[in-house]
Amino acid sequence: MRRFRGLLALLLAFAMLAAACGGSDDSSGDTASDDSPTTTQAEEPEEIPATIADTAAPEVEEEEEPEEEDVDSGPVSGGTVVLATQVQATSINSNIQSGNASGSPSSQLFASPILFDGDYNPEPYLAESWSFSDDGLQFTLNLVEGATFHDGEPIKASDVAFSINMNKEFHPFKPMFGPVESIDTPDDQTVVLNLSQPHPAILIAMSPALLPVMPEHVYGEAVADGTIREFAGNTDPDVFVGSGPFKLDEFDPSNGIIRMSRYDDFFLGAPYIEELVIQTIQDPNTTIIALENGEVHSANLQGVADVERAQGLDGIVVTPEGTEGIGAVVSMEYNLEDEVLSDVRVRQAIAYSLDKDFIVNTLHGGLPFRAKSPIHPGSPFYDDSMEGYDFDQARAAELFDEAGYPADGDGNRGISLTIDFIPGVPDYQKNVAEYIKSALSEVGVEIEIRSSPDIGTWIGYLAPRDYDLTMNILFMWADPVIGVHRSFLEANIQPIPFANNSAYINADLEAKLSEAAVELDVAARTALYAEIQATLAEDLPFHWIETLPTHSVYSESLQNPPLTIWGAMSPMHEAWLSE
Amino acid sequence: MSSEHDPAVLIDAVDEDARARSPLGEAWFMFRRNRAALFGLILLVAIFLLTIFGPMLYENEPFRIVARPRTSPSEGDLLLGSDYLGRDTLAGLLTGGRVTLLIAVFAGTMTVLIGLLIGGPAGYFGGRVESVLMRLTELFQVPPAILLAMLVLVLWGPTVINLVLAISLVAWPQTARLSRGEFLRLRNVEFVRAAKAAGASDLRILTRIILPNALPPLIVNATLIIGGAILFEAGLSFLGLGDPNVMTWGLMLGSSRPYVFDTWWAVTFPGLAIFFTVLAISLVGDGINDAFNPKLRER
Amino acid sequence: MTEGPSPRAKTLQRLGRMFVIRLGHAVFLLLAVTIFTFTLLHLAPGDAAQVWAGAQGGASAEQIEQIRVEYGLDRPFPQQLASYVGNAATGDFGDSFFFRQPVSELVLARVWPTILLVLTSLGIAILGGVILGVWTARRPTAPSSHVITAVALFGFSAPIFWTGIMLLLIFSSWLNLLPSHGMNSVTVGDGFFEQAWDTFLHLILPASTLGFFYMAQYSRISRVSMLEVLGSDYVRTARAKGLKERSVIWKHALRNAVIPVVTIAGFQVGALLSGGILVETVFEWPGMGRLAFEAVLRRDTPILMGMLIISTFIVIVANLLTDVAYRVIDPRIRFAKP
Repeated sequence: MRRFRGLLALLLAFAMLAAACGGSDDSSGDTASDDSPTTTQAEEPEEIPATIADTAAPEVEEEEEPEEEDVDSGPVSGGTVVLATQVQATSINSNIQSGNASGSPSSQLFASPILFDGDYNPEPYLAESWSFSDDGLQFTLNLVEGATFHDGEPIKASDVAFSINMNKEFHPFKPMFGPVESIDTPDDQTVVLNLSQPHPAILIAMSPALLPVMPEHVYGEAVADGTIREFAGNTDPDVFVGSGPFKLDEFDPSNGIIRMSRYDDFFLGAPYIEELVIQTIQDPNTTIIALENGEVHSANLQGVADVERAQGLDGIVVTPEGTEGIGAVVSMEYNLEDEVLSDVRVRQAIAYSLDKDFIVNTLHGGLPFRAKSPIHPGSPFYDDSMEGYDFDQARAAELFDEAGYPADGDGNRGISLTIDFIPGVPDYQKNVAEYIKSALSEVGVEIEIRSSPDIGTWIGYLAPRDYDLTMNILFMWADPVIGVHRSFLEANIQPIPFANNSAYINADLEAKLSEAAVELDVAARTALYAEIQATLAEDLPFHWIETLPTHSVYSESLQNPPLTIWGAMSPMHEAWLSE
Repeated sequence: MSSEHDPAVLIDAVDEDARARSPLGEAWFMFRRNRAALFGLILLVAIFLLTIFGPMLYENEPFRIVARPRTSPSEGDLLLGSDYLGRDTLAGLLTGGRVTLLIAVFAGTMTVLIGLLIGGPAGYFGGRVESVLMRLTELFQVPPAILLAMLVLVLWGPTVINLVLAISLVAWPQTARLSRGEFLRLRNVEFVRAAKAAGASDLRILTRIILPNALPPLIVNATLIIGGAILFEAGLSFLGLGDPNVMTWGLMLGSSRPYVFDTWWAVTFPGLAIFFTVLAISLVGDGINDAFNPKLRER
Repeated sequence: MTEGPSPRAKTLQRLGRMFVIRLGHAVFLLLAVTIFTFTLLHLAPGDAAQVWAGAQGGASAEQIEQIRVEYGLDRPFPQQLASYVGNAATGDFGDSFFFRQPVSELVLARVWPTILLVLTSLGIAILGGVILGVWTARRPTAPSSHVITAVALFGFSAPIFWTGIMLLLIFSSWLNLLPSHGMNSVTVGDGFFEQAWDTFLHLILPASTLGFFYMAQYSRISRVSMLEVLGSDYVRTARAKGLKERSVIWKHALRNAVIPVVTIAGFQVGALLSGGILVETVFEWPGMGRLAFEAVLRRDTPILMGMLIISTFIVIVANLLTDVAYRVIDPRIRFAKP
């Protein structure tokens, strides 16, 4: 049951993400992608211009530069900020549930040991400093003094240990804290994690989106008896005690409303924003109107038309930052157990038949980045030199012929496949599937689109591998160990989603993955991932297409929103509302 | 209210043909005088012709990507522009219209058949048969139609066949009630009694005598159901329960809806197609109704 | 009907008896719908446990077995049905997969916004429909009547969600006059009047969309019944007595033309709920329709089933009330007096 819950959490995470993607406008809910919703990371207000320049990173077209106006007027205290999200949260505890919908409120309500900026650089949060031992088997956090929970109790090392243990037990992402064997708390300010193997990804796991620090004296019992997973166990505002810049006032999951007010004794200083509301709006078109009308201050959008439309609005800032952390990559997954698709030449031929340039630049208006591998192009481990199967119908025809599927008089190759897609993100799922159907008919392959009205139906096809081709979106979650490895491990060929659903088996590759997981040297680790990506490109269990281009969209009146790798899943204690 | 004055009732069984022609002829005369109905009829005929012959004369591969996505009608060569994928909106309208009308006509036919099968015997036999059949009808009539259709499509998958079944499933109770009313009325009419007295079997009376006389209101009802089915299909597609492998107006509308602000043509034209078709059907249905309605005739 | 020693008592008695019969009928119907829904779910392809597991993220074979036990799916169908019906009778429709909260709670929280929307739309549709219907009945051949008939038909011929999107575009996006979504602004203050006004503003667009759609139908019905009433003996008598045309129309004929409209509207609550699902989805109105739509996207079958049963209940109650009301204001009773 426990595992099952984990899967549920994962699914929900995905759903939120998907929603974020599809819907475009919620600020808080969806994927971490956009920064707009929640502001701030660790930067000081004075640094804003620089920060923005830094974070602008590899991505794309900002139509409007967010920033500089803010600089002339200093931060103003007060005001209510409304963040729109597409998927409502059912939990606000990121220790038990993954995904943007819970991560966004959780990051406001709870602090965590470390923050990250827009370039994966760690910054102090609850931890003033941290270090790895030389052998990489110990990771030590030194906590700041004077930080308190919302009930005034000090935040102690034991609370951090408690939160990590809760996470390890309940969170669906086992690789995050799996290698943590034990935790020592020699004093109230020191946390020592004893690891079974070197684990570089532990650093990113200290983010607010992944490890909210929760008070043991409030939640100890609920964790001990497992009721923390129940609805009332972690969401009742009467019981609720957080550690972040905002306190919980109201949580109405069925109406998708979360109300928060600032915590005046926050250890980094009281936030400027007085009240923060996360509101669910499902239709991106409505979100845009709400943004225009000033009903909403910030949202995440990824629909092509939605982003383009938001870019054309006055007083609205659109930026692609904030998606690196969650690292969503859109792909087409092959079922390697299918007789036709088990031949790598067929998989390659299909890949050659698809015009990625058309998908990225024409269909999606150049909003996404081309992604050739499961590693998000914003990650330092992404290797751009890998084979991407650029559009080449002639090459595709050759490969089909070689594989024994020559074209008949009408050009048909006698291959007939189905393609599934994840519902809720039409631009990057259904529409691409429709394109694939059209493109493959040009090379004589017949495709039938199977429509899943809901995610459950899609998973019902995917999990038991009752599919030929499916569109998919996989999330890296900042470190490949968390979100990438899972798709390629033989042991992970399981009837659950986001596991190894193509039934891909390659022992050499698995050895390299294990090596990369424990390699502390970034350069060496990058080299390993380059080899891994080259192998994956050759074996082609997936055909990776592009990033999911979630954009942060926010009103100019919202100043200094957090433009970190985690976007909306970053605390907004340094954002403020002008006017 | 119109039923008691329905000319069909007055038809004498003895020489059906001779008399049937004259009320029908008269109805046609009335119909022609009704300019709105005539307009509806012309519109409807035009739409049918376009969807039947349009795809033969124009592009008939509505799924082909033929242009840049979201090309406006004024930008490119396409008369009505392209959709979010670069598919020709006009090709979609023509080919999709054919499918849409087919779905609606199938659903309408099925609905009338089920309605007749349930409502007819209920009205004719009365008693226990009636109460069982009408309870069954009520069972299907009471739940909100779209919820029931959604549940069916979610459970069985949104394919075009299931769509037709779902529409018929929620629409038939209305027809059943109407059929029951007609059959109930007709079974007491003199010529039916006479046939009964002459020893005609129930089946013969039902199919050869009552059915032909009950048809006019049922035909009006069927046209309205066809209009309703078009709207219903669009609604289900809007909720994401359309079949992506079959181009229909509803699917065009539903899948282009996210782009309504900057690809207005891809949403407007299928919307207008639905609008004009349903309007034409309503006008024709009204026209037939009025033509058979003696009250209005007096005026 | 008016003869006899105490007609009023007799009428009441008759109404009471009818009410009891109808009530029994309603209970039977509700039970049948529950059984039907549950059976439908079991007739659906695929293993229910697998589907439920899929909706929750997938599971291994042991876990699916566990679910089977947990939800009682390992028991024979009649037993499952009996326990579902038994629970449903006490208002327990199980827990939502997604929210992990009782379905009844979730649906009940959504009932009032839906009722507010439906009743307002009904009001708009009846009022507008009757006015248009009377107008066109008075001058059936006048050009204005043709225009009105045409406009009413327009409302009925366009897909309702399409009309909603257009109104949203015009009044919220272009003119920025009305709020775009929801029932209340999240930033609205605590004052009662402030909140009521805010809700009213949010209500205008969705209620007009839904109302406009049904207005066409009601105008048609009231036109026909108005024509009948105007042709009836008692109106002729009234006219012959020299009553003013205006008085004939608005005092006598109208009252009787409204009755069939109200009756039909009462029986149409189900259809309004259906339209409401689409309208609520467009305007993100926090009612049952939107919950149903969300439940579809998440395959939250407990919610879908609960919603179907609860909305059936609402329809049955509405039908029952209409039925009783109709008999209470039965036009023949009324006609007997003047």
